[in-house]
Amino acid sequence: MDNRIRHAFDQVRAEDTLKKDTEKYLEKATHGYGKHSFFVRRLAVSFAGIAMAFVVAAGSYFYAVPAYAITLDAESSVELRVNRMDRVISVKGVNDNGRTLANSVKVFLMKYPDALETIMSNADIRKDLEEKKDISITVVGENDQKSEEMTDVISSCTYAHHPNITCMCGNREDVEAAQEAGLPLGKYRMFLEWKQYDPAITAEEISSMSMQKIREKLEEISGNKYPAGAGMNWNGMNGNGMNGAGMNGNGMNGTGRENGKMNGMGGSRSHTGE
Amino acid sequence: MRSEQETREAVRKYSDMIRRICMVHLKSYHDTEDIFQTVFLKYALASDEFASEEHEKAWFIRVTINACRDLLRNFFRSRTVSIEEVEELAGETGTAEDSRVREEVLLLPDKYKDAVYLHYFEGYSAAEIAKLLGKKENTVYSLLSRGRDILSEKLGGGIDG
Repeated sequence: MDNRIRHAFDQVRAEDTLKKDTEKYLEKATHGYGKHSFFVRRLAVSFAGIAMAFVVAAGSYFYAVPAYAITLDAESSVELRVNRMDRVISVKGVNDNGRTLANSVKVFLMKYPDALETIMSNADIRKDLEEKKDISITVVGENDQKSEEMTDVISSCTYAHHPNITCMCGNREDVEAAQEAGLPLGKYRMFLEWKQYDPAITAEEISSMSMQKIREKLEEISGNKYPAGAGMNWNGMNGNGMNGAGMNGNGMNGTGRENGKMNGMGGSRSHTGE
Repeated sequence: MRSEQETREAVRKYSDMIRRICMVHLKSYHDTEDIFQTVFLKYALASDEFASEEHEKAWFIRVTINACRDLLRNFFRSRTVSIEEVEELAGETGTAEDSRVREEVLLLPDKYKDAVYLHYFEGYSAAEIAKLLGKKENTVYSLLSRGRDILSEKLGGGIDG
């Protein structure tokens, strides 16, 4: 009998249709065996969305948010806002001539050394230099080290080697104080230095004088030497107001930079030119 | 979750066995389709590792029998089956004798069917069937003995134990 039962049931086979229908059902029920499960797809879409938002936000942050300001003080004073990628994202004039200059140069998204070169090749700026008018370039930013590096880069550029150009690495407090006094940062520092020897001197008097004139007067009353720019970076002044003690023998050593603490953007300042 | 390849292999390997178990228990092809879907989906979604092929086969038998029982417990399903329905369910594959044997097995009381099928077709011992069905070994011996008697009576001829 066992053979009869075995033989009888051995004839029974699952129909091909039954197997195929089952496989189709399984494919559907398991969402392609987990390959395209709804949950996984939804998760993937969510992650892609988050990643995209992150990339856009990070890109915007790095590109659209200014981290440094480079101020060029001359007859035409302009301020460049620079992002973390060293690209200029805005340029604005800080006096009437500066506004004209800012509107005439196309430096958007240029690397800051190139942008400055473009500005320095402007006819008005070249005229200032031919007339031996002083120009100061000040870098202020959220990071001390980076600001100093930027100052080094600018100082190494050909245009900064002109004797009447001074490159400085500033800090927020100095810039704000200079702004309050209505002076460019370079002139403000000379003003503070002068004030030690002649407390009666006023910012108004200084503002109407050229840097060259200020240097000459300061040398006269202090007995120290204050050489002109020549691409030099200012040093020997502590960042929180110059008290003279920070100056070395000649006031400037020609190679260093100011070590002032920077707490963010220098902010724009009004300036009437020299 | 198991891979598509693993699941397809299981469908290929165990479909015939599951089809026979379904035949023993169920009353319609539609129900068989339901059981196939239930059993293989459970397999596809399970992450259990089987110690051996025998272990895997036993898992399919147990799950199929349980799924059939669950289906039959449904209040709306008919619990009885007519002779005509049995003839239809047993099918006409093989010889007339094969069909007759299948019909008689299908007409056995439910409690004997599994033990008879598993012993006479799948070749499991009473001890193994006891484990698979969660019954005492002596009970399985009794079920087999009684089932054998009924079939001998219906089909004639001796049945080897």
